[in-house]
Amino acid sequence: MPPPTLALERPRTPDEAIAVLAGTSEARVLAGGQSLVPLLTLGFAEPDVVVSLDRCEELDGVAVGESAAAVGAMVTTRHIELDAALADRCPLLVAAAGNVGSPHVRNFGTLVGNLCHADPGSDLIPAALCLGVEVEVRSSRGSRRLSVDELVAGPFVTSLADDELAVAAGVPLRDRSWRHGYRKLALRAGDLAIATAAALVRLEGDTVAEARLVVGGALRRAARVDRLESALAGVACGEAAAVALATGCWVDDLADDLLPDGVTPLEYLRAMLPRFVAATVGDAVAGAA
Amino acid sequence: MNPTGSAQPVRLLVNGLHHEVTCDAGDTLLAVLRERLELKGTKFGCGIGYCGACTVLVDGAAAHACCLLAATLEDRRITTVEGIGDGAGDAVQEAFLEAGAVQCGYCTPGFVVSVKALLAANPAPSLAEVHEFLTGNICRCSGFAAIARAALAAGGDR
Repeated sequence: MPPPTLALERPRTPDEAIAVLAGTSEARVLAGGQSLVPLLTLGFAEPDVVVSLDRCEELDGVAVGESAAAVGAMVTTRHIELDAALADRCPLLVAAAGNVGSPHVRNFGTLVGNLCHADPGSDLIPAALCLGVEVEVRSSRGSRRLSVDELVAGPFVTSLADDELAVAAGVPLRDRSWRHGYRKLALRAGDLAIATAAALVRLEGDTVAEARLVVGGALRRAARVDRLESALAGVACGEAAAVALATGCWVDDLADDLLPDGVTPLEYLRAMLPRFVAATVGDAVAGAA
Repeated sequence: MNPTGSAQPVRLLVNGLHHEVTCDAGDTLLAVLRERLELKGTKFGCGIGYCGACTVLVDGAAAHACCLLAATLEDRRITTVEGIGDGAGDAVQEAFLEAGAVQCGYCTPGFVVSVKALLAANPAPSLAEVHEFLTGNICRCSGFAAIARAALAAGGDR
């Protein structure tokens, strides 16, 4: 349990939050708390200060533009799950959001918090990587934008400095020539994932013109499957899943990144991941935009 | 802003009543409900947001009380199982009894609060919707089926 000496700051603006972070290297930022509070309870995180964003109203909005949506750091997964505009323009994000934990967790947990927690079993990280999400990060030293690939360094490790605050996620929006697929393997409903697959395919007529494929879960971090993306370009929709399955050797490229969880055998992962991703490709080409 | 880290007074609105409690920054809502407010209906199961035994409503939305810091909830309307039915009987509680959905009873407060939240948002859920919404609640005694029957009975499936 956290010690009685733990301090809590509740700034009213991102600038106030950044000022607190600039003053200590032993702070943790609290968004929805669905990851951090259990870490505090278990003693896996031992900050001196928790900086809660619960009073930062300006971080609680979704702004849907022409080509991108800005999702503030305090926007909950539940909000995303039920947002009609996001369902229309980035349905992959909404599909992944619905898989996160339980309604209880989604009522408080946030997209940005999920990305910054960098749990390999995350649903939102593979979807965000597939979509090309960028995270806006601010500190007293300035601001920068990070791709998911740049943000997530490994299991529970990000590239954020101690004094940096992630304030929003920029989600690219696509038109209806793009279709999505999302699959999650877990033992129980609500669990973090053993494996995740996120797919975006752009169709030209009956052909896959372009594919963005991400595999996550039992990996050090979610990754694009470049070999498979190349193999699918120009393939007829009806052949896409079969081609994806036939190109299953991509899993060998990721051999060093497989991260067995101590329960799921490595041989099982190596056998199922190609089928899992191929099925997700099949879902994408068959599904609605 | 107070960086001293010592216990602070926190004003919480629980089941319609305002309470001024003294708690540490790291105190979860679960700990404050049980240990400061003596509201023992909300249970400690896993303590890390999986089992749902600590389910409460925050502004009507179901939440794991073990995953919330009490000091961040000053302006929120909190409802615990003690605030369900006001002692005069409640359709969800009665449906649980009629369906035989209570064995050891440890998970029951969490399930009752969750079902209240479900029915407030979706008065006549399907079985699939019941299962999906109750992802955050675990029962180790029963086969869960009676709980689902209770939820459907309390809803529009009478």
